[in-house]
Amino acid sequence: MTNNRLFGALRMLPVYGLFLIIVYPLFYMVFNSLRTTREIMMQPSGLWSSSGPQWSNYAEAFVIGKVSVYFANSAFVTISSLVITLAVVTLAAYSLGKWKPPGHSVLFVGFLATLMITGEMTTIPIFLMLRDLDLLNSHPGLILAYVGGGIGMAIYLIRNFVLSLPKELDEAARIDGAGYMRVFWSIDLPLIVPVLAVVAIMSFVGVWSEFFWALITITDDKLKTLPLGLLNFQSQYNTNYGVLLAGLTIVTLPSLLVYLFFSRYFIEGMTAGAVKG
Amino acid sequence: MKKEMGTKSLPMLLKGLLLIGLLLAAACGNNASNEGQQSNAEPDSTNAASNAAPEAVKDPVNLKFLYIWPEYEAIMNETIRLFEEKNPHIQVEPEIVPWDKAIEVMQTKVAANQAPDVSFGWTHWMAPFVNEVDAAMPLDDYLQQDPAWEQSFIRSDLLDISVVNADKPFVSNIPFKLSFQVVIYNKKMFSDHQLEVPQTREQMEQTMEKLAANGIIPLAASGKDGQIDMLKDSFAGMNFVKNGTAQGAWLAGEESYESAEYIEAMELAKQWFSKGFFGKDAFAVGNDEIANLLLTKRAAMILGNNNQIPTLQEQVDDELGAFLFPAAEGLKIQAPLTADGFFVLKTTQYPDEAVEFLKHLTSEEVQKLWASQSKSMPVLQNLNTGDETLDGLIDQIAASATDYPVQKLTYNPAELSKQLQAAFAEYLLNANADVTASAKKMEADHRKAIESSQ
Amino acid sequence: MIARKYTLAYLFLLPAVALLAAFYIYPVLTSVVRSFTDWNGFDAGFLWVGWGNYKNVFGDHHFWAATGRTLRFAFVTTIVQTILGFLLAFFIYTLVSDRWRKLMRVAVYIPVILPGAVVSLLWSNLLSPNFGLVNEVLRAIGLEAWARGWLGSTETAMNTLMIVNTWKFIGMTITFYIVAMLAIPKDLIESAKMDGAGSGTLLWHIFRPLLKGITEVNFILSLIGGLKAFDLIYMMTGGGPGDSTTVLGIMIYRRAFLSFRFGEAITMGIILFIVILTLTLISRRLIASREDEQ
Repeated sequence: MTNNRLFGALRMLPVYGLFLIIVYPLFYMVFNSLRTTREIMMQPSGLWSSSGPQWSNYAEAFVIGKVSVYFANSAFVTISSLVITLAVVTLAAYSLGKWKPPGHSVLFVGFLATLMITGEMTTIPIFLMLRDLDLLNSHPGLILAYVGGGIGMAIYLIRNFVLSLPKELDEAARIDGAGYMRVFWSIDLPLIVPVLAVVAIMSFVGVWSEFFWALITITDDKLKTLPLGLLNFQSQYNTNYGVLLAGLTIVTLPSLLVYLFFSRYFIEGMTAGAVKG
Repeated sequence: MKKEMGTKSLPMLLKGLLLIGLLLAAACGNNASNEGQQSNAEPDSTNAASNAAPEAVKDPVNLKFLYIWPEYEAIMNETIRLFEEKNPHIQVEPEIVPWDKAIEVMQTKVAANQAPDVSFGWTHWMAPFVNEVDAAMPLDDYLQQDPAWEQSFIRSDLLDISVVNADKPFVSNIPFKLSFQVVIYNKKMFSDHQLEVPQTREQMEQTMEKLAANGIIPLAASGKDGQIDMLKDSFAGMNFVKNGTAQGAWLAGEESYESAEYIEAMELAKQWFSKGFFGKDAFAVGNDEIANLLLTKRAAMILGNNNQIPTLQEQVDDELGAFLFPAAEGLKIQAPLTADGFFVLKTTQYPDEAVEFLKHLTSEEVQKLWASQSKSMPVLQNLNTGDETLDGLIDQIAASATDYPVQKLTYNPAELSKQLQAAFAEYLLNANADVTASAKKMEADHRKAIESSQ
Repeated sequence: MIARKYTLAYLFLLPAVALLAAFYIYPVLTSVVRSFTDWNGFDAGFLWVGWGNYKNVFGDHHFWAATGRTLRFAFVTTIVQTILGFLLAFFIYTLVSDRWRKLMRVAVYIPVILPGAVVSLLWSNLLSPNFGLVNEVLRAIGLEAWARGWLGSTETAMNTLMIVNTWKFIGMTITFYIVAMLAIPKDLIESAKMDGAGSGTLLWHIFRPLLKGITEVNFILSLIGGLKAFDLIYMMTGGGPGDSTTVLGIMIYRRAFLSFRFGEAITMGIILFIVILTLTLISRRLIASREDEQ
């Protein structure tokens, strides 16, 4: 009996190890955000504060990082970007994967190619375009930039997924007289929910912690997003690490929560469907 | 059954989201035009207000101001408030940018005609803004018209460092607070080991040997952030001055890296490196970790910046001191005249007002404000911070040599310095490296940089 | 009927294509033009230099060295990530404990979610030569000789970065694989098991062929990411020590923002783009052809 238990426990060792490696840095961040900067600098690998958890780090982070204002901005910008991106890419990827209109493979490679372009080639022209449209220093402008930036990866993933959808259900519905929109809306859309959940997560995470575009387009303090608040904790010579880690935790937390929420849909969603790899 | 329910309600959610998505897209279009209308409304109201006021003679001026210190936002806002009080028709619009993103942000803004009027710049790093990009406005005329201002600085040649080269000999940057490399040391550790502050480079070497023998890192330095390279360059500079060859090509930064002076500097740096004077794995270590080494008393000295001193002192019980890196025997220390400063962009519509703001920043009132609240080292004469260590440094700077030749590079050193760092690091890290081979590589890159800016 | 079918198809494509044109095609065309000039990124004016930038770039030995490093970085991380990701996905998929299986499925993606700044900060601290946990653990278990400045030595810096990069992104590979594995019809697996197939046979003969599609996705996304790599590397080593970790992304950045030779930076970007595109198309062909054999 004991042998089996021991063996069982030993077999779990790699699992525990893997879990630790994956999750440790996250714990490190959260635990260190509750220590004083002095302790972090003197004993970087410690986890506890000798004077109890420093909740003041979070209080300070809240104030210095102007979290109350920036959080709402980030929420608005991210959710808007997410919703619009989903709408745009779902339609496009479905069309490419299901109906394959003339020119679809060129377009597909075009969308995939957007992932291969470096920022230096696109930043200034896009910035100038936003300026000319009078969209600088505004949320709509930022949202537009984020949506534009997110279409490549999303279309790549969704279109591949759409390719592997079974045709029998559509054909059955078509025979029953359903139009193409109907097939899309009622039959296929529910089936691609899992990949949409994946895209939703990637889109949320990508936009929520995006920093550079927010920095160069938004100059009005009332409109800034959360990552910009993080700047206030860092300086060339005198970074307050306790508060910085608290700020980073505040920024990372929503992404984690969104992921945990959406992950159900794509893992369980897959088993409900009858999709082949 | 349950699974079916799950997969049916989610599509409903998705359909809803799709609809919202399309609606939002339409709404965003409306918002854009609304925002446009709003921003057009504002200037009208300001003009109306100033036209209504009987005393308003001057047109409202809006100065866009870019700086890099989020930690001093409160002090800067106070500084701006004082300025706006004295100049009611001028509004200063500040923007804070992280110091390591400053160039990218500036570049995007300049390319889009959104450049600030006054921007942060290091006094010794104006070359890109003068040579490559013709962005900095010459300030000589303003200085000449206001001799009191010109001579108010702690050293007469403090302004000189922003004169980039002989082809464009104008002052491009006004210093605001001093920022230079210092050796920060632990006074208690020094007294424990009966050590005095070294006055010459040779004494420094002896001090370091003694510390190393006791298992203490003598002078923690960040190879990653190029500190060892800076030391090597200062050694080379000392050699050139000593040999009397600090002229001609050297003044334009075109001296040969294969020259004896340079090679000797490289070898000295390598000796120190191999003896572990800079700490083990100096290349893996950044500025923050260096500070940690000092705080945990694993290092007795570190190469740091004067702006770090107050914060570091707060974190450790032992008393800290600072001194300028000593010169080789027989030479006087050349004062580091590097500072955080500000320059005016050529594209500004309000050059006079911009310079007024610069004068305000270097006024006694503001310099005192910053010295007392942020412990920054002022650039004016006869001002103290009240901190013993910092004031000692101020005295050293005021009294140091003013007659050293200074290099004015004809090319942009930015990327070159990275390439040199790379070659130099290889030389340091490789036990069998040949110094002449490394020097040759560095000189090749050097020539290329010089050629491509012709 | 056919005409109407395609009208709807194009309508669906309209918003995405409009964005594609505005955010990618137009900027890239502008950039291609700028690559033939001496534009410094700031001024409005610039001079035409024809193929000058291209000649400079191709004649620069730093460029070739950086290209070599980039290719090595990309291929090693991609291959390791894909294979290891596949094995770990299978491992998690076959975990006996229900609780741990679900926990691991969710946990692996977490590093992907952490912002790059967080990952660099945390790992730089973990790897620090004097204070880092990695070295402390090594010293504690008696491997003192292995403790070193992982990011500070020209031999280990690149490999260390590859490990950190893999750590961050393998969660995505694993997640995609697990999702695809979950889609394999259970009866297929059951019948194989009843025929006496062990884990190894299951893995090789059943899972591997069925997962070709998702393997392509994983491979290509990793490859593109690896070739473009910039953020993590820049924040952790800045391209150093020496230039052992100076990949193309970093070179392009320096050329643009340190040297202010934007025209040349764009030239390098275009060359990089062509390299990525070519390698991607080749990879797709290779992987797809094996899939067609099915």
